[in-house]
Amino acid sequence: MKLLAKLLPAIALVALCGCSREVSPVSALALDKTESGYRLTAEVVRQDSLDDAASPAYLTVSGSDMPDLLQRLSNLLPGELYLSHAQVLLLGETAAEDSILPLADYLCTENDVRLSLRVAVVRGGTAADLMRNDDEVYALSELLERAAREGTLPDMPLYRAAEVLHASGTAILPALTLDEFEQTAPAGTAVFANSQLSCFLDGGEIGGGETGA
Amino acid sequence: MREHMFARWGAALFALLPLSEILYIPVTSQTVYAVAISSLLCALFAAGAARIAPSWQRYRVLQWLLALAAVWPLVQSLSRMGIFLRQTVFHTRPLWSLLLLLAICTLLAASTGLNRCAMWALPVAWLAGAILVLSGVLTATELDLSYWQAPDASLLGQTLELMRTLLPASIVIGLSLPKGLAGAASRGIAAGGALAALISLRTVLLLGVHTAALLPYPNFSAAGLASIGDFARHGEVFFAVPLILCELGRCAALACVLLLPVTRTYGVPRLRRGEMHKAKTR
Amino acid sequence: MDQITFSTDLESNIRLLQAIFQGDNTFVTRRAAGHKGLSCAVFFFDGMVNNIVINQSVIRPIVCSDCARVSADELARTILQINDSRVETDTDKLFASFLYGDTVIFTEGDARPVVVNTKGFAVRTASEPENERVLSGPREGFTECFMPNLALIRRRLNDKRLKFTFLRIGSRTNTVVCLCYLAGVCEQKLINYLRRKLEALDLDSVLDANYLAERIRDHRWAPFPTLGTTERPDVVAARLVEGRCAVVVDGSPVVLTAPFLFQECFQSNDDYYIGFLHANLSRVLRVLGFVCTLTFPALYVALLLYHRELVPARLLFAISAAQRGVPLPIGWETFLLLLVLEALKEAGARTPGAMGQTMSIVGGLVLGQAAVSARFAAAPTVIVVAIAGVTGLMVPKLQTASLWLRFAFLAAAAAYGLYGVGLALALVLVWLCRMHSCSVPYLLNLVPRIKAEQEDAWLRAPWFFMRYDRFAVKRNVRKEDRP
Repeated sequence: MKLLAKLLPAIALVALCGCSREVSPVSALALDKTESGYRLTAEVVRQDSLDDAASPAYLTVSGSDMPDLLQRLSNLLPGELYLSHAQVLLLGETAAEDSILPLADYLCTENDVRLSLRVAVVRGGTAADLMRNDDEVYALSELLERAAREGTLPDMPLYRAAEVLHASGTAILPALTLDEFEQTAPAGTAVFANSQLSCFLDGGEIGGGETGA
Repeated sequence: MREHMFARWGAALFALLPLSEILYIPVTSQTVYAVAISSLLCALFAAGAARIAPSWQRYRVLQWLLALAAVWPLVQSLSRMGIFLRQTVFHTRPLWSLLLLLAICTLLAASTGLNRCAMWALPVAWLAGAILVLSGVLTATELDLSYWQAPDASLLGQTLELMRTLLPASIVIGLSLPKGLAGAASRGIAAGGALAALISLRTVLLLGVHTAALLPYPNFSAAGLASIGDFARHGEVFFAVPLILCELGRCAALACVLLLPVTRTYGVPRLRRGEMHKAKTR
Repeated sequence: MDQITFSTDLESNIRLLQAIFQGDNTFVTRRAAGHKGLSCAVFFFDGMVNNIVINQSVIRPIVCSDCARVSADELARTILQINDSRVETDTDKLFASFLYGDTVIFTEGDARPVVVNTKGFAVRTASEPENERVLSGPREGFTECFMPNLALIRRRLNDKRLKFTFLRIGSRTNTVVCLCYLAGVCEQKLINYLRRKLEALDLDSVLDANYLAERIRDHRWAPFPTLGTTERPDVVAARLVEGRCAVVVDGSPVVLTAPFLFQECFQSNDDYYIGFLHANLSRVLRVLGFVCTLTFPALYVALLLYHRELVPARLLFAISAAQRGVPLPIGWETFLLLLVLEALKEAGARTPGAMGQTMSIVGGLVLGQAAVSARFAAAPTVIVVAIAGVTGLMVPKLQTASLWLRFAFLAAAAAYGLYGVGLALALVLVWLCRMHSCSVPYLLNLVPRIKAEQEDAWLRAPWFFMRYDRFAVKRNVRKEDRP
């Protein structure tokens, strides 16, 4: 016991040496399908000093599936890939046409990813372009959150999407698009059947109407 | 002051048992019923064990048997705690180092004796209860009642599964109690079980059965959806820390029982010569 | 001291005492003779006595005496005009009194000295203690003078059961120590326990109450106080009423009280002199302050090292930006800043008033700002350490615990994140659970056995609500003994 008491200060001082790698926090992810597989674009946040505003930087990697993409992204980053503050995952139309169930399952079980991550489908154009369109960090997640609160877009965070996909394979996710002024705007909802994108419903048609795609 | 375990302390000690299960319960649509039933059954068994405890403790052989019976739940608790810590935060730490840390903490807590462990359990149980309630309240608006399901045949299996982890510890600690604490034991397990059932219900209604089934620690993950504004999003650690302390309390109580045959008096470790002298001069 | 024997010859007694106190220039020998031939020698220490009393009550009656020769008894009874005079045959007691300001008188033909109470050394007035100020309530404090201190206690407790038992401790200083208690209210076991502890002490000197406190307290290595200390007579009176014992040490304004429970660390004198609503808010703030000072730096380090997901996104970006360029790991940075804070506190405490303020400004503001600008430390770390420092001042009785445990928690956080902090808190709680103060559990009322014990534990119940036997210490006393 006495030896332990003598060793404790030394152990404590050694413990203080614990040093974390500089983190590269990701605020949003965009997944598009390419001919050879998938392309993941990450919005990495950077703030150099207390006086500066946080600004986004975009990194793109290609790979076969989400674990592979994240691994490649991690290798690319100077700091530790940090997904806990990611709030939005954008899916390109073509990427959403594949079954998104494995993706949802993977993201749910990934320790770092929040279960409240909002998933949206980009209608027309690529997910990466839509994400790059706005220079403000978290602008997309704020837009989705506001729209969900107001009821203009479905409130469908990751955990809820995974649940409905598992239960029936049918889900509705919010859709976004770039409008004629090159602004990000809600574009109705994306309807999934058998975990694959089936069609889009326009804003006014959510209650049931003709399909738009 | 003589060593004495008061009813509140005893109840708090037993409340830790179901509370310490919360992190590891696999959540299904039947979990809420399974937790409630198994807690009630364990409460009854623990009360029965506490009732026969004084006569049980008279025999040295039975004390040794009890100590041996404490080994399995103790090892189980320590290992699942270590694995939980490794899987959720300390991915790069070797498992043995986490187990060593937990074992040292357990021994330090157990060295105070079962009475002090029970005394210590009171604030820990309150803290854990408060955190669980707070977590539940913060996610109340997100709950979806359509996920609620009536009991079905799978209930029996899950109840037995839960009993397998909860019952040995309840009986072992129940048999180590001083007399007159049977009521406290059953009240404690029932209260802890009620909280565990409610938090499992919260998880089902929040995540849904399928998402919950995907997660290794569903109650823990569900707690991450509780937040206060922009603060403590992903705050499952705040939820897990008091529950880990509950588990530590359970381990400490079991370690006390394990040490029981080698202690001079019930639940209090053998005093060293200096301390004996001090005790006599008091 | 070797056995000293006085003779009936006055001159030889004078020579003997002068030989004993040779080299002490404050030792005064005054021969006094009556006009009928009475011959006496008066001995005292200059500065320790009241000269007026000696002149008027000792010298003048001897000089004006009509007797030719008197015994020591007659001198004490019929000649000296003073309230406290006695014939003292025990040389140890004689010298103890003499060295403490009493006057010794020898008369021709009697070997027995007369001791007269003529104490008159300078004493400080009973002003309010600097470190125990109150917004309202009594403002008297103990001084270094023994008897007036006891008088301050007795003035508040006009109870015939109030007992003052004297002991002498310290082979060199021979300091008077007084054990105070209310007989029948305080448990006899407690009185015996403390008396035994005090009598067992083998010390050269006792210059302050802390000389005793560190020796007689339970759990000597614990950073938590297990003996109460106060400079206020009202606090001592309140604790005696609650069934505790007090130890008054001559020469020290600090009075020890025992047993001391953990809850007392968070109690302030003001709690009982102002409205209960205000008092309870203050008490809650003190508890939060203590928790904050222990855990705030640790939480900061744990969050940034292991649980960054808990930090709001924009705050995390700002902290990361502030950390950029700082040379030390965050654990070491916080540790060193805490050390600097303690150094500044120490310098401020030892510096005279006005300079102390300057020191605080220079140290706290200028140095902090400069350290951040020069990237020696990150601004958020400075803020966290400053908050820990300020909240640490809220509970002065736990400053030692705050100081040590803060570092321990920091190490636990750096090693195991929030789980480490949680485990460290649990172990501290285990430690507190096993602690005793004079055989009374340290957490007696905070981890209650029954509801009634909580009336003055975490919060203070209003006076009109508080039951008579609110204190567990006193509850142990038999009912018939209760006043």
